[in-house]
Amino acid sequence: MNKDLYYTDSATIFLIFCTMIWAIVGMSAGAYLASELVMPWLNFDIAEISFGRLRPFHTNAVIFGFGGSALIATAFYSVQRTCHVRLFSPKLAWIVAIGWQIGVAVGVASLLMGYTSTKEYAEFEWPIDIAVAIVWVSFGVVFFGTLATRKIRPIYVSNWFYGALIIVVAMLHIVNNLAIPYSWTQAYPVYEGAQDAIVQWWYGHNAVGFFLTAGFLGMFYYTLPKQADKPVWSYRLSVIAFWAFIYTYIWVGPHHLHYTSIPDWLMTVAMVMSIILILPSWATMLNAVMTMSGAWEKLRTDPGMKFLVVSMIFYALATFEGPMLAIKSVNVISHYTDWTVGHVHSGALGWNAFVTFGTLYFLVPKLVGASELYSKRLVNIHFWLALMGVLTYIIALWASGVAQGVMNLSINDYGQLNYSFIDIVVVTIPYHWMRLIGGLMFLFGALLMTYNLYRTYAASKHNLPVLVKIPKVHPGNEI
Amino acid sequence: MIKASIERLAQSSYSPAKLFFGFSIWLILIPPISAFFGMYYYGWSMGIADPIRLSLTQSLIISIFYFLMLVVGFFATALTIKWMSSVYAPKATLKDAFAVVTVITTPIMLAGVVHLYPSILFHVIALSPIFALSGYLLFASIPILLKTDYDRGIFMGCSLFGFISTAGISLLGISAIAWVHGIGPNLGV
Repeated sequence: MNKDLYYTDSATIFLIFCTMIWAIVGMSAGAYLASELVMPWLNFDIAEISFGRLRPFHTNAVIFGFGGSALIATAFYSVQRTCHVRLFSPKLAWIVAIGWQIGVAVGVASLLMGYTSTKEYAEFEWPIDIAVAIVWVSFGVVFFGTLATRKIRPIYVSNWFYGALIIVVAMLHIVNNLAIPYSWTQAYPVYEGAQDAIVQWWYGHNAVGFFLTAGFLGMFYYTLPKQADKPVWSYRLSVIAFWAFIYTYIWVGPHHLHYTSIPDWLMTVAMVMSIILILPSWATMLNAVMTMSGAWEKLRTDPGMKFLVVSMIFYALATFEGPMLAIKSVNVISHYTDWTVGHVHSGALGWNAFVTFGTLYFLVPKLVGASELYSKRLVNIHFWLALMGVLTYIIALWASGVAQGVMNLSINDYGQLNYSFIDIVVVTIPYHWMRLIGGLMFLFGALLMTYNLYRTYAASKHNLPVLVKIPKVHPGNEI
Repeated sequence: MIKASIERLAQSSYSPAKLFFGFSIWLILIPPISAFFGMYYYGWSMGIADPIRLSLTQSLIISIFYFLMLVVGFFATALTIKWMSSVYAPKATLKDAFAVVTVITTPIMLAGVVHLYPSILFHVIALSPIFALSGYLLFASIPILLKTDYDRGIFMGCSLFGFISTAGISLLGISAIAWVHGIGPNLGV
């Protein structure tokens, strides 16, 4: 058998398995953190599970473990189908798949042990940073190698987004983590003071932009037309939105540093660029909505479709709310409050997790050669649990954030603060209970998905490996 | 029972103007009037210490702005429904769009009386089921009032939910900007 005639999906299957494991690990940590906020004794005076260590564990596990595994898995799957060619190097793809898991696992374990660079979303210490960089560059070699050996002339838009993810995240990761080591676990950053803050948030927000947005848009642009069984509504709009997105996003990081010691003009540029960013974001949303139009019956027949539809709503919401929060007059109230946390989770849960769930429900039966999922009923229960969970979560944190923002700044006629810090903490407690309930609902839904996908796999594993022959390229489109 | 009521509304004859000036406008008055009395006579309760009291002028300005925002929101939603209907419900008219907005906003406007006690936690607890009911009415009313099939109605409901959520967030953002610029509580900014 000539293997070159068939796609290779074993690394993708492994990565999807890891995605589900990371979802449970990362979201459980999140739920435990939410519990600690209302029941602080839950840290049992154990340093490893104290809020300060478990919080970066949670963020790194969900962003890089869950999100990263899902992105690499879907990139490997879709780049082959859109290029009509087998992965450039299946062995290197496996090294990437395993290397990524080891890198993230060692990284998050080291955070629990107290080793941290203290830079948000870039907390791993320098040896792990180097390992992650090597794995990421290898991912780029597999991806761009596959693109370079493609049999079809056009490069489909999902690959533009995945390509941007790989290039920009490599640049961000390497530049932000430049440091001079002085021991095996510690290093001095090469930047200092306000410069360090600017570079950190250039990284921090573009990690959101290129990891959690561009990458997931790549996933979305591949999965949605497949599930809707229709081409993208406007391919031209998707490419225009891509370039507008790329040129705009890279400027917005300093909006995390409003009213700090960075230059005022930089804050203003970040604010203006953040507002402009609504245009490409909503152009993508419009394109997605119009692509779905006509596939009316899919909501009933396709279990994953409803996740994609809802993910677009949350994408629209989050990409509107983000620029709004970047306006200085809004930011002065919202910053340092739960409003920001609610905003992040409306994006991370409502957009990133929903689009991933929809994609996994679409991919897994195909990858294991099953005619359908083990249980559509469980998918429906998962959908409603996740939707109610995320709504409960963000409504609670909107209310909490507004209360915190007003209380932080409220003064009496003598210019004295009306509320002490502990007053604000006490007021926040009921909302944090709501947040915990919402988070647990979301976590329980993810557990149901994992069970459902595992049973789908278990019932069909005799089909593995599923051999999918690479189709011939339509005449005229050959390279 | 709810669907039967919506069907009766769909079969009745009315004009958008009659629907708005004869019914909706009176409902839209409930939240700002309640907010005025709540703000001025009780103050914004944070759940601890004394409520934040607002002056008569501040309370009036906020209530009037609130009323205007609700009116603008009502029309904007109706026009958005009409705009969206070219994809989701080709037979729908502007009159039908007004009917949908009326149906989904009625419980929220009636629940505006909660502003008489301006506590954020009380609002979250009291309004969450009301928003859930309005969400149900959104999805239940679209296929009937806009004369489209169920599947298209669900898609349109999702799109409209996105629009309304964004509008709600905008209201929060506009409020924050107003507070920072002196219309609202005394903030040290």
